[in-house]
Amino acid sequence: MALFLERVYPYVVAFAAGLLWFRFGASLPPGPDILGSSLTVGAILTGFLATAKAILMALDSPVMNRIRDTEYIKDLVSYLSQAVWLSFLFCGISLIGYFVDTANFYFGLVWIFVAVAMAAAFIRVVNIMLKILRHTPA
Amino acid sequence: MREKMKVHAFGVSPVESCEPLEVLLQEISACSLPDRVRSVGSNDYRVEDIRKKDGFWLVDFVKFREEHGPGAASKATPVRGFDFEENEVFSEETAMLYDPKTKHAVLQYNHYGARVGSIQEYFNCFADDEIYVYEFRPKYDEDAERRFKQRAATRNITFAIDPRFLNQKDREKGTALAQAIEIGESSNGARVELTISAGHERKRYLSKFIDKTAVALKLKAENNPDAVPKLQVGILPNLDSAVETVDLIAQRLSLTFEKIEVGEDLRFPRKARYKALRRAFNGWKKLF
Repeated sequence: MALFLERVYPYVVAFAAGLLWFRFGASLPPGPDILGSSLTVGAILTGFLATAKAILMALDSPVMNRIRDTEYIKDLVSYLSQAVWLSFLFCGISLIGYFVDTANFYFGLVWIFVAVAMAAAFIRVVNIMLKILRHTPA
Repeated sequence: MREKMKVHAFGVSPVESCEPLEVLLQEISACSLPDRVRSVGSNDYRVEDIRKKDGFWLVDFVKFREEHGPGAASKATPVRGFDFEENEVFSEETAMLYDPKTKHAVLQYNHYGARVGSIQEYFNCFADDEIYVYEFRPKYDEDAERRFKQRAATRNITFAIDPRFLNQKDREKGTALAQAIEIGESSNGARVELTISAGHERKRYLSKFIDKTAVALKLKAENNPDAVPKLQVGILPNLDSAVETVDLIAQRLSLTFEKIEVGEDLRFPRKARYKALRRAFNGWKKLF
């Protein structure tokens, strides 16, 4: 995968999910359950990513040191911060859902876009993190 | 207490028509300490001390280690932390001597401190618009170099490359981070070692094409010593003689000082490090 694609794919996937949502005119299920679950998922991911960030940045392994020596460190930090902010944003949107009509089509569209972008950004970070950890000598 | 200190020699060449290194060193010496800080990779570096003495530039670099570090302890007392002032972190020191006449530098080796790649990058990014661009090339033992250059034929080449690590070029080529890590991992080895040999039969030599590989690898090792950790060439000084093995990596010009005095604060004093660099330079003077 090219670097450019790696940088944009969470948003491309989220955009595609938004298009499908639009195409099928979907809406969020009624009731606060979906909002409560979304809030929990967003909060767990935010916490997990904050911890993962601390572990990765302090990791003293050959591959991590090499990443630090190259400009890949900027990409890694950017991926981590995007994942954290998207998770945080997802929590925020879920909270807003308690005050607005969640059956509104545009609320659902924003919700699905952020949810998918967050999931893809999270997968991107975890994927890279596991590869780095696999590289770490025992 | 006395400890070992290793030093390496490098040839310094300005790229294209940029000013000689001494012009930049002069500029750095006129800057205040905070103005000398530059970021290379994810660390900040600074020229801590710079002075001109007997025609040589003596430069001491500091690498700011913005991460956790050791504590102080004895066998009888428990470990305790260091008292840091606000914004202070651990810092690693590396001394360099530069001779403007021969355009050679002698550099202390500090594994955790500024190393040649970072120092080169520090100089290159010191001013904007790439006014100063230099290349630090490791200096090799003249005898090994001479024997390699004067070889009549090459019988074998053994070289190793480290396939594990991504580098800046991967990024410039647009390789994704996950893929760059994976490429190294897929080899499942820390080191690829290859021997190309003409066998034991007399009067069989490696072709000119393979022979050129040795030259290319040597150049690669000079540019990036980490990329080629091993390079040995079996050469024939003349076609009737026996094979001689020249180790082009081990014969990098280096010197280990066995007993450098460690100060009361458990650091190598700057004066002692400068003195060692001067001694190393004097010993290698004829080779530069």
